[in-house]
Formats: sequence, structure tokens, C-alpha cells
Amino acid sequence: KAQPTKKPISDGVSSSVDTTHTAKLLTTDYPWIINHDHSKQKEIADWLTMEIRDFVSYISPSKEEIKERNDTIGRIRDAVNHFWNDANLHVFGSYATDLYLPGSDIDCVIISEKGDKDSRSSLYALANFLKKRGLATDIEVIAKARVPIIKFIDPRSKIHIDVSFERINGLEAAKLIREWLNDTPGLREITLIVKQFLHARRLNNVHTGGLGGFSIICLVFSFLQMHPRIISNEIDPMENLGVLLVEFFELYGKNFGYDDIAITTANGYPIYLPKSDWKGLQQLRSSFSLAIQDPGDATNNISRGSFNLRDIKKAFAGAFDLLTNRCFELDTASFKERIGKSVLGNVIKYRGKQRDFKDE
Amino acid sequence: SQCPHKWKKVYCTLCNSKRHARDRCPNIWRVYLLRDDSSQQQDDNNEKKQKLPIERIYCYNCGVNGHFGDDCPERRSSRVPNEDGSAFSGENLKEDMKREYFDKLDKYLQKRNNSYYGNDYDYNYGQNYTQ
Ligand SMILES: [Zn+2]
Ligand SMILES: [Zn+2]
Repeated sequence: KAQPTKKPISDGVSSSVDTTHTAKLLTTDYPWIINHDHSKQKEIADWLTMEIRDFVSYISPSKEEIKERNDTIGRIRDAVNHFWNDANLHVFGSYATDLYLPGSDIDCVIISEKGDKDSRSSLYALANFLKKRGLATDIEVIAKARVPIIKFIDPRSKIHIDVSFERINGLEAAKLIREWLNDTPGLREITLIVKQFLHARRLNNVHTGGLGGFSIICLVFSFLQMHPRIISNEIDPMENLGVLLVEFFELYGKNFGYDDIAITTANGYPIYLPKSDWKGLQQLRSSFSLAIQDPGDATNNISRGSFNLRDIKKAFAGAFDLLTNRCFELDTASFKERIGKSVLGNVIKYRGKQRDFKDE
Repeated sequence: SQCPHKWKKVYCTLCNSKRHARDRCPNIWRVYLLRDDSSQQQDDNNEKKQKLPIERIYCYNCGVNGHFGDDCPERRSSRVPNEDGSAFSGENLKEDMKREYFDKLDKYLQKRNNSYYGNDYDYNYGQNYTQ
């Protein structure tokens, strides 16, 4: 059987050439280090921590962008309320948890008192209404799917919107994730880095076997909540993002026993459980597959679609090697040689405008 | 360069490991910025030693509670080698927790060995019986 061939990933290769290149190349590839030079840090791990913080603040939306998104949702919500007076529009997904990359779609769901808005005719009626009001272009109605949705583009902001109907599980997940974020320092930062890392390798799309947003959050949550230095309260994760990112890649790229182990958060905090002890675990394509129990439905494996685990694990292992090699290289470099260098840039690149980020 | 004993020369002067050279020592990057001692000392006065959070310790290799994956007695599931050890090891616990952790681990390994030989005996017995 023919498998689509993957494009080779060029990220990280530049580490061997950038000694001879000018800062111009670096600043276009790693814009978060402009005016943020940390090359004088004694420990490379601290340098990486600071770069992670810079990266996160670099990709975080500006006040104007936040307002634009809120205004967009406000206009659609008003229209929905006008069209169906028993229905309301809610936001979930990465937008509701503040874990979106620039250019992400906004996930919304319409919930009504009658609970009848997921019919084929309702979907088309709403689509026409939004079109007539000038609130939607490029409309797609996907009525036959397991989860029927309308997709469109908001003409003013150009933001892509997905609307689903009468399903509360996304809202419940978003509420839970917000609690996890409150209780787990570093969860937001490492999740955003891993999301962008997988996005650049086209491994974050569940339709092609990649890791979805909720699965990524669960992996980071589980990693942080079980880390020996964190459970013994020895470190503040926010002060140790660099070493923790490398250790995240170490765990899921090298050591995690995907064949035998599932992750569950049924107790409120994450633990492992042998797959054989998970009653109701759906049949998996192969034993080498990720199993994460849905906090809202103990029979559901939220990562069942991530069938391309082999490439995901390989990418994580590669990131571990790239980051640690970069640390070894910079450890012996002189302070003069270090100026303008990026540690994080070995696994994450940023090209073009912020709009080029997309969270699928 | 074809010398078969070349591996003997690999030695890390930073952590005394024979598995890597000094310039590739994990201690170069596995560096933690610890919390200020002040808050810990207050805790120490209150309850002397912090309790081992055993309910949070799970094995990435076999999924069992009570030990970390690096200390797992079962066959390694991942095919990627773990030569230098990882973050998920009893060695990475706070000093005052290590003793309790490794005591518990010893007991677990002993119990596991006993039941292992027990099963082995039953197995042989069954075999002899059918023969
Ligand atoms: Zn060493
Ligand atoms: Zn184990």
C-alpha cells in the first residue's frame, strides 16, 4: 500500500551553518530573540527558559487581536440569538482556554433549549441567515459528519469559524482545562511550544493521524504533574521551563511505554494505568498507540485518531537530540560565539507573519 | 580507530559515568533552579521531613504505582535506549525523600521476586505433571 511521503523537515539543520551567517537570518527565523539576548546566562537551561517565555509572549495575541476576536464572536452570537430565541452560542477549544496559536480557528457550539438545532435543515437555515446578514463568507455546511458543523470565514476579521450544534462535551473539556491551567504552572507555556512544534511538522491534525489539542494538553499535564522535582515541590516550573521542555521530549520521545500504558485523569490528577486495566478501552489499530482516557467519558480514548504515533514519537525524540546537542555545543562556545544564537530555534522556527500560524 | 576497546576510554569527569564523555554529559542541560531555601526551612521546622508523595509516582514503563520508569524491573517497552537515565528516576527526588522511596522500591522488588519464583515453581510443577 502506498503511503504519502513526508517532506523532510529542515528545522534545526541551520545550527551548523549559522556561525557563518549574519544575524539577519537568525532574526527572521527566530524573531522572539530580537532585543532579548540571553547568551550570557551561565546555564543553558536558564537561557532556554527565557527563550520559551519570550516565544510565548511573542505569539500571544495583542489587545487589538483579542478585541477583534471578541467582537467577531459577539456579532455571531447576536445573530444566533436573533435567529433562534431559545439558542445560545458558546466558545470552546483552544480559544476558550487561551491556548491558541495566531491564526487559529475559533470553535463554537450552539446549544438550545429544544435541543433540535443539529438537524440538516437547521444547519442550512442558519448558514443562509449568516450569509444574508453579511456575517459569513466561504460557507461550508457539513451535515453528514459524525459531528455536523458549519465552517465559514468572518468577512471583517477574516477569522475562520467552526460552529457545531447541541454538544456540551467541548464546553466541559474547556472548563476542565482552565482548571488544570490554574493548578499547573508551566502547562500553558509548554503546551504552546509543543503545539507549534507539531504544527510545523504537520503532526497536529487529527484528520491525518496527528495529535489534537486536547491530547497535547493531557500529555503535558501528565508530564508536569508526575515530575519528581515538581511532586516534591523542589522547583517552580516557571523558572525551569527549559529543562522541563527537554524532559518532555525525553519522556515521550524515548521512554514512554506506549504499548502498555494509558493515561487517565479520573482522580482529578493524572496517573498511568496499564491498558489491560482499562475496561471499555476501544479496540486500537495496534498496541503501539496512544491511549488517553476522556475525563468526560471513561470509555472514550481522546487520542484514538492519532494513528501516526510513530512519526510523533520520532519527532519528539528528534527534538530531544536537537535541543541537547545544541546545549552541548553552546556549553563549550565562548560568550562571543553565543551572541545572537537561539537554543529554542533548533526545534522551533517562525517564518512570515504571525498569521501564518495555524492551529488545526 | 578500529580498536575494539575504544569504548573503555569513554569517561565523564563531571558525573563519573562511563557511558558518555564529559562534553555530552546530561548534567550540562539537566540543571534545575531550586526554590528558595527559606520557605523550605519553615516547612522543615513544622513537620521535619516532607512526606514522599507516593500517590503521584507512576512508572512510564509498566504503569504501576510506587516507582518511576527508570527504576522499573520489567522488560523495557520502548525500543529507544535510555543509557544515561531520565528525569523519571528515584535519583531525581529530593534528598530527604530518596531513602523512603528506595526502601519501598526494595520491598516491591523483593515481593515481586518471591511471587515470580512462586509462579515459576507452579509452572514447572504443571509441566512435570502433564509429562
Ligand atoms: Zn556525565
Ligand atoms: Zn515499572
